[in-house]
Amino acid sequence: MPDHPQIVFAGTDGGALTRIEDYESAGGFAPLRKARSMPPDDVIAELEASGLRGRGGAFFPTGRKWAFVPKPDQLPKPHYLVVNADESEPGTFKDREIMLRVPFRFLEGCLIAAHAIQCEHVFVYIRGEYEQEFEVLRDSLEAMRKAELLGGVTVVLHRGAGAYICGEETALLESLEGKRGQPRTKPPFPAIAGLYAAPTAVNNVESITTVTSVLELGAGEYAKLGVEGSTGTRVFSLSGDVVNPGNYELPHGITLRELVYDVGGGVPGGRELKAIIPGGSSTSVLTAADIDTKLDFTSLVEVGSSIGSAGVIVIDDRCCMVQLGIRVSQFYEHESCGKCTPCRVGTRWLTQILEKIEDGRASQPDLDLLLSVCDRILGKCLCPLGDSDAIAVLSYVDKFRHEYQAHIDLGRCPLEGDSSLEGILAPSAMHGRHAHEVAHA
Amino acid sequence: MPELVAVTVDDRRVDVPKGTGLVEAALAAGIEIPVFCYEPRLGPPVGACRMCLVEIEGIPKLQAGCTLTVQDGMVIRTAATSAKAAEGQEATLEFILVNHPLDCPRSTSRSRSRRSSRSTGSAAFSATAAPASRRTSRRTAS
Repeated sequence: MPDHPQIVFAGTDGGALTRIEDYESAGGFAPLRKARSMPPDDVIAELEASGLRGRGGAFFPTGRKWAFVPKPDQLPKPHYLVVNADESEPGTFKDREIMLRVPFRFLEGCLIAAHAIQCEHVFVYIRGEYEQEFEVLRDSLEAMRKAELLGGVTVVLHRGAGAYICGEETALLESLEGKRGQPRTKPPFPAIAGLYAAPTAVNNVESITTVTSVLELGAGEYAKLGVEGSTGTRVFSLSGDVVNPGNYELPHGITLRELVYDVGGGVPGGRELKAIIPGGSSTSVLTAADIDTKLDFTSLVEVGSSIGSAGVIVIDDRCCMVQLGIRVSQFYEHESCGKCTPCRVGTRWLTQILEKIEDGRASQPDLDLLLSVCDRILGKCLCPLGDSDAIAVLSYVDKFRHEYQAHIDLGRCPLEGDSSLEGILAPSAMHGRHAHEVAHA
Repeated sequence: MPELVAVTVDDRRVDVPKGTGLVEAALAAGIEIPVFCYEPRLGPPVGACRMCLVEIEGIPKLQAGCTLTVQDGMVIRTAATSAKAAEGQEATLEFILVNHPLDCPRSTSRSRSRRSSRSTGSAAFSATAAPASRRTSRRTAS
């Protein structure tokens, strides 16, 4: 994408910067030196001025998150930085490419963040299936250690064991402490009592990598990119029924049309665009009519969805929305940690009702029941996992109600053999198999 | 004399020692919030069953009462006066019962011996009610 500025992937020219000499000659580690010459609070102020907001899905301002961490003299406990590299949201695969292509920019961001919150311990919780990414980070970290860049900071790469829930920040902390990966109740928030009950900042890989770029460019220059409220660039993971799937770094505020058609090459095989999931499987679906929606926080909220983790999934007219609902719901059912009642029971119930509809065994009250179960999950769970399933399924019924109705009226799937979910979110059985292979490798 | 905080539960004002849990504060106001997974004698609360969902003024989402410590001036509405909290509680109960056989021999024998699940809850509570100050102090320490 020569037309668009590259911030996260700057200097890679489509390749990878995995040699420390190459990264340094491309201007690497100057932002770290700059940050270390500044008082920690000035680094936080710079981040706040840049408008950088979290890339993991919640879009929380990064600088403000760090400002919530008490100063060491206010709370004399070890402070921790935990980087969430447990990328598992269906449709999202940006962090792995960041770790593979710009590992030094990411690790440099970790050290800048450590300086800002005045901590000496960094934990990178990396998804267990990310074998190659782990190896690249391990080698890069070793190179930085040899180059004496760590400055007394210990960076630990911790590999997960294949649970989606461990991407939820408090479940991640539990898992990191060696406990079962289940979410904690908030408050207390991790900024006050996080890892080992000590002040902890938890940030996403892309956020941390962008921190390096903010320091390099300066907050003012960085904030010129993107749009108001959603500054800077975003690495969009484009997948599904699209000619050129992949990760694309583009400024916030470009339209779905530009991403899907100009960058992604449109829908293959002359088929019609049917729906788009804009921010990973947890976000509400959009229809083809929303194609001119801008990809930024505010614009997506206005159309009733969310930018989430920026995993854009393109769906063409072959896809049965009930089958899509089953696939998404099966994922959340499989990944529910089972701690709280609405998520443990509700996600399973949703799958069962959706399967009944798809099989043509459902009657009208089943559709009402589906919506009622969604309502009974929403806002009642311990963490966002159960809500995600309900939000997704509710949006499929809301936007494609006629299709759900047709299943009931016909007593079968109207698309039957013509339906295809190929390329749109892998079935959760495949996730499981892969995780199993990794665990037993 | 411990420092007291004033809270309102279902329009009833009650003063409780600072650090009191929300379920205990409601009980002090004479209101029982149903709980399943909350048992202070087994350790800190986990907030898992979602039976104790309550509405708190100023917080948009329903909250699990068992995991909260009351703050001065907190206005709490339980299922008795909040439609939202009632809906939350009913949803939880429905989720628990949907895969639970209603002729479950264990549940019926319990309800026969204790008359109803509601009184079972109260009985379990009064058994732990005496050392309330010790319980709350342990909770705030954790």
